[in-house]
Amino acid sequence: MARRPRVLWLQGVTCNGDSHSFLNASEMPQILEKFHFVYHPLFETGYTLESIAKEYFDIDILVIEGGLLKKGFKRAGVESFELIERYASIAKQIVCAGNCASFGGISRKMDRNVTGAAFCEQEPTGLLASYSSKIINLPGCPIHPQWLVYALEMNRHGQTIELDEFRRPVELYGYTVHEGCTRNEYFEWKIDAKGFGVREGCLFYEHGCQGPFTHGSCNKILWGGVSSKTRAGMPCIGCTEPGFPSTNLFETKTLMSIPAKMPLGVPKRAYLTMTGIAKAFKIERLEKKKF
Amino acid sequence: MKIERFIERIEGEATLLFDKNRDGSIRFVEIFFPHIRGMEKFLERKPALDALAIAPRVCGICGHAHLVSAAKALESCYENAGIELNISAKAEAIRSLTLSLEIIQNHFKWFYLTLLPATEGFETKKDKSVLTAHHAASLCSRAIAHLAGQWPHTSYALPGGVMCDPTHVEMLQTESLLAQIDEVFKNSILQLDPKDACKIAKVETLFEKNGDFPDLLRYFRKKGWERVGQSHDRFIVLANHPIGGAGKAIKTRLAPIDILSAKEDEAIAPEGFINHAKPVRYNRRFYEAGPLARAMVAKSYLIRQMHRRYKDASLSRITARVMEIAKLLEYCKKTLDSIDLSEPSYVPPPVSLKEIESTRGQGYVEAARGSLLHGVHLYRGKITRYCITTPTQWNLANGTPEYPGVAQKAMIGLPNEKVAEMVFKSFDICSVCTTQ
Repeated sequence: MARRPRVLWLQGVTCNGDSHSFLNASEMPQILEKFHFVYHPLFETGYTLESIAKEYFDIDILVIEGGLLKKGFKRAGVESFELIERYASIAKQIVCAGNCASFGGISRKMDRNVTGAAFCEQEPTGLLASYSSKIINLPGCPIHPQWLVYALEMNRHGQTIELDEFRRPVELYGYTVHEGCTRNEYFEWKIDAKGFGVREGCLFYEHGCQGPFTHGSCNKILWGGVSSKTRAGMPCIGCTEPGFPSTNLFETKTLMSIPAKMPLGVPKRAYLTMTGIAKAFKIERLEKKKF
Repeated sequence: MKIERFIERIEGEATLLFDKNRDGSIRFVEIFFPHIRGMEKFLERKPALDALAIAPRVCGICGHAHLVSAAKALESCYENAGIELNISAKAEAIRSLTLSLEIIQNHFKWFYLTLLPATEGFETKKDKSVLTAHHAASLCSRAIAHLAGQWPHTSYALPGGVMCDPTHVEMLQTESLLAQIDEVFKNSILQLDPKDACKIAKVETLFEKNGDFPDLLRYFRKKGWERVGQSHDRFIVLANHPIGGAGKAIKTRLAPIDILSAKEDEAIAPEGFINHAKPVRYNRRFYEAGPLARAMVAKSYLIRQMHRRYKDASLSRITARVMEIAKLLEYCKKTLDSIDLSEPSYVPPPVSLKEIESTRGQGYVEAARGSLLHGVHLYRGKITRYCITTPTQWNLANGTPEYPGVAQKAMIGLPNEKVAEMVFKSFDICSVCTTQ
């Protein structure tokens, strides 16, 4: 049997949400067979964080959860950043699980000294930026479990992952959350949801949905294999993007009745032309509640 | 002699500083959570509804409880401004259902990933434990996803109801998942159908059953640990919950509560240590929160019997938490069956919070680990103050040797740090919630 890749999961400033999200991966029995977890914050691996801090383990993949803080956050007697940096230098690949590890996320909003590994929001100035070439960012708040499974499996098979400008895998983040959303027909014809708690209507025009300009595959690779925020009636809040979270998350900011932020890559003029035409139609079956 | 011990895998970490007697037993212990994130401060100046997206991110394992608390706190802002909201029975039931599922997944994870590994000498198969916890938790998460889109970190509850509008298809899929969680329960933790588990009335019957939980009970008896971990024998439940109501109990004596008597103090730590866990007391006295408190206040026949024998020992605490899984599973099935899908999921509040000059509100729920309270002040729809009090603040508050906190009292007098760590973990601690 080929040697199993050794994975070390370390945390910075975090809520533990990425750890718990990962534990939902339906492929967990296979993951535990195929990978050797040297340490994980939730389950027993045979090693404690204290032993990880005292010794130097040879690892293949370092998974970072949480934002990085250079000083003032000790774990097992050492600065958590010191520990993460030590293993960042040893690991062949670094996977940032979640928005905080990728860009600083909500942890950075609370403490401006916190950064992501390669990035500090949009800027490539994260505390581990010198290791950027081996960093893969998997932002999301939390990370989608299958996104992490994808990165681990690509590593195990020795496959190169194509990345975007923020070092996110194109195969996962080359889409928008809008793609696959069950409300797309309402978006096309510019029909907003009449309020929350209804299946009908698009959440982009009034309810703050960021799906059309947020990179991610939440509506292609469903959560728990069954749903997503927008399918359950909740607007996308843009948790895969640097700078997350923005503010006024459940209202669409408009300028002269036009959404201030356009769907990804769509020029404002083209958008106005398209919506002008779409609005000219009155499609009765889309205007009323289905049942 | 003072010994520092780093405790991990408790939703973050904590440091225990043991003061030991010559024979190695615990004279006193102090509990430290050395880091703080600053969630309450971050919420200030934000639009009120942003709390629905930010508050769940306090915690990766009980974020849903934080969401429901935040939604209820904003609803209470309306109420305190004299504006009545109409929350449908359907919306209330869906919130309660998803919250219960979050508690169930927590209890499975706590039992297999936290408690069993901390029980010295108790033999478990490491991978089997991880996979049992994973299996139960992933089924719960999938059931929540049917209604709330995803777990963790959904924000699908808001003042006025919930954002989802499920069909009978989602209801049936959720029912099927509940049946699968039943199977995990009876193939692992207690080899009984949850319905039959709820009927167990005698402590000895539990000891005679099969499953990982009865195995643990018998191990405790073999080790003579039935009475370890006793504390103040005072219990508090701030919110009504599926198994019973709010209230407090001193031993078995019940009394109503006044929420205003629950007070948070400043965190304390000796020189050279950092601690951000603010203690919470009720009428200046320490009370235990969590499943044991809920069962005691609800007058659970089985748990009261357990309590008659072992008081508020770790064994009673563990039993209350495991048996809560069975009760919640039964509750979820009944609740699912009771939902009338023709009711509205969401009834918009008559006015926006921006239109209210100034108001304040409190929202409280029973989360996996106990009572969770969110307090918010608003000015024209913006948050001016946000205060979160978590269950671990009740249980892990530091007191003094003369008047110790709940977990401190439970550990004082124990023979060594290993047993103390197990007792500590029997409270089901959440470090990230404590230092939000």
